[in-house]
Amino acid sequence: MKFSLIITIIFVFFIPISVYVLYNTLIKDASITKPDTTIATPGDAGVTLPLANGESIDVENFLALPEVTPATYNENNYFLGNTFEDAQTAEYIITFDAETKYFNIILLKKPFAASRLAVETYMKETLGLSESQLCGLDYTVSVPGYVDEAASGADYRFSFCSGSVQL
Amino acid sequence: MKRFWSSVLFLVLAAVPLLTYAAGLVPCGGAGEPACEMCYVVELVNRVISWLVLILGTVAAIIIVYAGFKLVTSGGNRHAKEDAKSMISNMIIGYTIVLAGWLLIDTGMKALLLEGETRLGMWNELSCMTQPAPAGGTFNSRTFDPNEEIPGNRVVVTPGYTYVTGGTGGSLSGGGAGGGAGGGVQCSPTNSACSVAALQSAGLTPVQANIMSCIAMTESSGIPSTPPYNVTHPGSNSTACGTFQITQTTWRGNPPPGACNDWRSNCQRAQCNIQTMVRLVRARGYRDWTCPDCNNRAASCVRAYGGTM
Repeated sequence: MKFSLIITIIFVFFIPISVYVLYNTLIKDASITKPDTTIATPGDAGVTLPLANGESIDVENFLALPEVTPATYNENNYFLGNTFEDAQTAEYIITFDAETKYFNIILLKKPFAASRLAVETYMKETLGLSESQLCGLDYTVSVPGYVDEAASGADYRFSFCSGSVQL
Repeated sequence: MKRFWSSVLFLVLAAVPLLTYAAGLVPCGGAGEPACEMCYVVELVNRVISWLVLILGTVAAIIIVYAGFKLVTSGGNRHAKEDAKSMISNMIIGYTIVLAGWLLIDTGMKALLLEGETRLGMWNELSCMTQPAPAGGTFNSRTFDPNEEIPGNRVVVTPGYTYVTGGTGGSLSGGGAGGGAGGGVQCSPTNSACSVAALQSAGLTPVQANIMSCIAMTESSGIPSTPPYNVTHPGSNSTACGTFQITQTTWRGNPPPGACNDWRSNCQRAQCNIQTMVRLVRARGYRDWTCPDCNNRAASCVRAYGGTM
């Protein structure tokens, strides 16, 4: 009687646990720890962006858009929307590292809250992502010291994300 | 009695390789290993637990084999047969409890995290890392050199998280985010132009790399393609350029050898800007960024990450 009970426990409890542990260690965690090393290019069908939760999301290839410009001196870096040629008039500049899929966003015009709002709108429309999906991207929103020293040295995040700093 | 001692001898011989494996339990103090600190006690406990689980697996296998042998050779002895079955049952129950305990903690901790957050990894994976000195460059009433690591100042951190200081205390933040206004935020770990790891690879010490990653954020927000200021703002006389906003005069005063030598064609190249910055920091410390009327935020970075000006 006891022996058959143990056999039942094995099938009902132990085997599902083993499957769960194996899934977590060999499949799920492996996909989190192995970064996506694919370098996105304008010729690709789409771009896969990693999210903070370890998953990733496929978006249309925004690198192929006419307003996206490759950085002259730094391979795999792109300017989205504005470049430094527009520095005197632009509200923001977004650079994208096609290797690490990191968005570096800088605000150039005061009031910075309005500039951040403009960036958020651009990112939503260009990438076609929801606010919660945008929050999961690898990005920083900051102000360079040459624009405003007092506002520099902070990551303001998007206004609708956790950890956002009021501007 | 003879059979009992044979079994004991068999178990001891089977356990010898596992006892040898225990030699790697202490993670510090050996040749090529870091000096022992309090932080490593946690890692030691962690390793002992893993070692015990490993031993238990082997013991479980041996007991099941032994019980199986007993079951087969029990013949008509009903008592011996029940004994063998009981041995197998108890072993499986015990082993299940051990493994389920690990799983329950892992699942519980992940359930307590924010929705979708998985950077915590497994609950028992920990590592020791150097904690930057608090503001002012002092620790335990002693001032430290910017290139010096603070002894005994290491904390246990779960992979995927970094320890950052901000004023009077420290906090955990993940993936380069966090750090409110004036928090001395550093470049993202995925920004190869100024991440702490990239700057250490370029030849800076851990303290220098922490400080310069913070300074890069205050100067250019970590964008290597930032052109000379007087190019984007005609009329200005500032030639500050690139990730670390190095001016033409400063660059030419300490030119890097080789392909990066010329400022005009290279100040926007991430690797050339890093090379020149490394030469400047090694030769003159942080004064090119913290000089009077240069950048007050840069001075905050030096203080926040344990440097001296």
